[in-house]
Amino acid sequence: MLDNSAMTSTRDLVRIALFAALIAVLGLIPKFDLPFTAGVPITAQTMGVMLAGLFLGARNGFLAIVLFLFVVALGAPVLSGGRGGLGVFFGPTVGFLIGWAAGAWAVGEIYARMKRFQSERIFINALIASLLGGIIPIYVFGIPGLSLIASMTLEKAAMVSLIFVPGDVIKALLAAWLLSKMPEKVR
Amino acid sequence: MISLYISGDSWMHRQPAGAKLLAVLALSITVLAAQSLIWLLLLLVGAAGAYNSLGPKGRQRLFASRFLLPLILGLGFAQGFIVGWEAALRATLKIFVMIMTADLVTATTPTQAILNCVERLITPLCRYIGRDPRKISLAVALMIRFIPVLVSQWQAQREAWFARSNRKPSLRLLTPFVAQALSRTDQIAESLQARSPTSRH
Amino acid sequence: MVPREGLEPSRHHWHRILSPARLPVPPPRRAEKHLSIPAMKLSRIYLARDQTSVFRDLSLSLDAHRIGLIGANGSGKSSLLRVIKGLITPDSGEVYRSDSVGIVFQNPEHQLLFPTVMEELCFGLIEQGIPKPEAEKTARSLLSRYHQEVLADKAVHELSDGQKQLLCIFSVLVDGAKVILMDEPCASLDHKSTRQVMDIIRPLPQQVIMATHHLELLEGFDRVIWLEKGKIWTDGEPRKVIAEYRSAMETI
Repeated sequence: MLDNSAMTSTRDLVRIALFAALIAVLGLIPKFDLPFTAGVPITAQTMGVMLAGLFLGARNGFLAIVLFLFVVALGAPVLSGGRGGLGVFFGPTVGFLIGWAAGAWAVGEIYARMKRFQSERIFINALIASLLGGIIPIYVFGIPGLSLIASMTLEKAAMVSLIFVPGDVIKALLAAWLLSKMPEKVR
Repeated sequence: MISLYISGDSWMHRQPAGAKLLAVLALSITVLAAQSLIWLLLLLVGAAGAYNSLGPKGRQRLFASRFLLPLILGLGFAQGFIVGWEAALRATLKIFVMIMTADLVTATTPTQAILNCVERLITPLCRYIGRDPRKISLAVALMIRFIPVLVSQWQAQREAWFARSNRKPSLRLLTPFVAQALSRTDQIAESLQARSPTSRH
Repeated sequence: MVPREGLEPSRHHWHRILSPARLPVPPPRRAEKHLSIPAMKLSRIYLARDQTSVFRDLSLSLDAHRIGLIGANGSGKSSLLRVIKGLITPDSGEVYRSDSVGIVFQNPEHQLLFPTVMEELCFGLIEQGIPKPEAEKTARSLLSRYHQEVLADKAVHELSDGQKQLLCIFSVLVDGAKVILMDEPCASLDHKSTRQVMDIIRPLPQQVIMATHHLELLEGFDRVIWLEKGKIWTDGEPRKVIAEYRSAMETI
């Protein structure tokens, strides 16, 4: 007989590993060009953070990102652009990568709370979760990380990084839209 | 699975994984605090030499990292106006040295070695919270196993799109992709569970 | 099994494989008119992939109403269908294709892109520029023509395997295809679903070119091509080619 709790933990493990693989594959998909983003290419992979939190919840979403980053550190070139290895974690973007893990957790938490209030408005809930959880933590970790590694002042690092926020807003919209389009059982 | 490891038998290859990881950490901290341009330049040359000692693949890797140049030089340039050229050069050199030394560890350490090292490190912690440290290796193996599966799924769905539309696939294709990927989870979990000798955590 | 009088033994045999528990039923004679379409043609196709040659100087005229494509895995059947449809462009040579060719793949899971039946059916038409209400009307009328209205408002994940494959076929019909290519359409289906699917395919007025391992499905076809390593090994009357293929498989 299948032990129920062992089954759940196996399922969790598989979901986490699968989602981590999903994020890797999102990095292999060529950037989508949307007409209204004025030519700013959207990398599907960075949406993966928001998707992890939305689809797997805070804990498993966090673990999925951690697993992904771990495998990158092991030497797999699965970061968008074929990058990988330890070098990435000693470069200017390391803070953002840590922010990804925190972001996935935040998105999951916020979404779960919004769902408790009003479970019907899936898109809105997901959008708020993605905007707040998917953007703020990334920069909270990313900007100091950049400042440290690149020997910049925090203000300078902030200026350089915050240009990308409009793109992140678009990603949040897309992530929320994606969740709202999923068949029931997947959510 | 393509990995960034370069097989070989150099001095760096023969060092244990744990030692290398510690060394990179220690070196990075030192580098971040360093002030001397000469010292940083020497480290850079040393790193380049280490790449060279890995043979043709190492040289190729060194050359391939030129894609990082725009980002890092851009950052350095932006700095230059504010803090002066010497400081900007110092900052740029630091980034290069850190990335290269860390990458060298990746290039000279097989994945399994790092995995074993990590597992050893966290086993005491795992015993404390009551989880199985071997799950990490399993998770890594599963993820790597799933990547080509998802890639061919993506290609099949992309083909199905082209079979009915002349436009390039839009983001709409992500929906069936993610849906199908997630629906595999239950089947796989079941077959995994079926293969474990006893049901335990 | 009680053999019905007047049936030829070979047809009896094929039907026994498809529906073991029932009396054999002869397929409906194709009394409907065939759609008249100019025959498609491949002329001196060369295609190489991953440094291996897939097709070398392949020429083929696709003029019969029902064409079967058989051959071992790797013989080039799938690539051939994709070249005909236009998903793969040959390195050189000419392809003369009809303007509306549809293709149905083996695994409906990979082919169905949308969560609901209506969205899936209307996708092709909407991509062609037809407004959604009109597309939905066309889709519904097609479903009722095949007595499958019950599918219209369902979600894709509620469908059985056979229904999913039917949905793929209907999608191609809704798009207005005049030629339907099929790459092992029943390979992942059980007997009952295979029967369901073949019952829909058999009387279609469109030209059908089907690649398959299930030789029984080619019953009643006009022509069978046996492809081997990218070249035409045999081509002609189904019974002859299939018998040759069968005996070759037995001696391996």
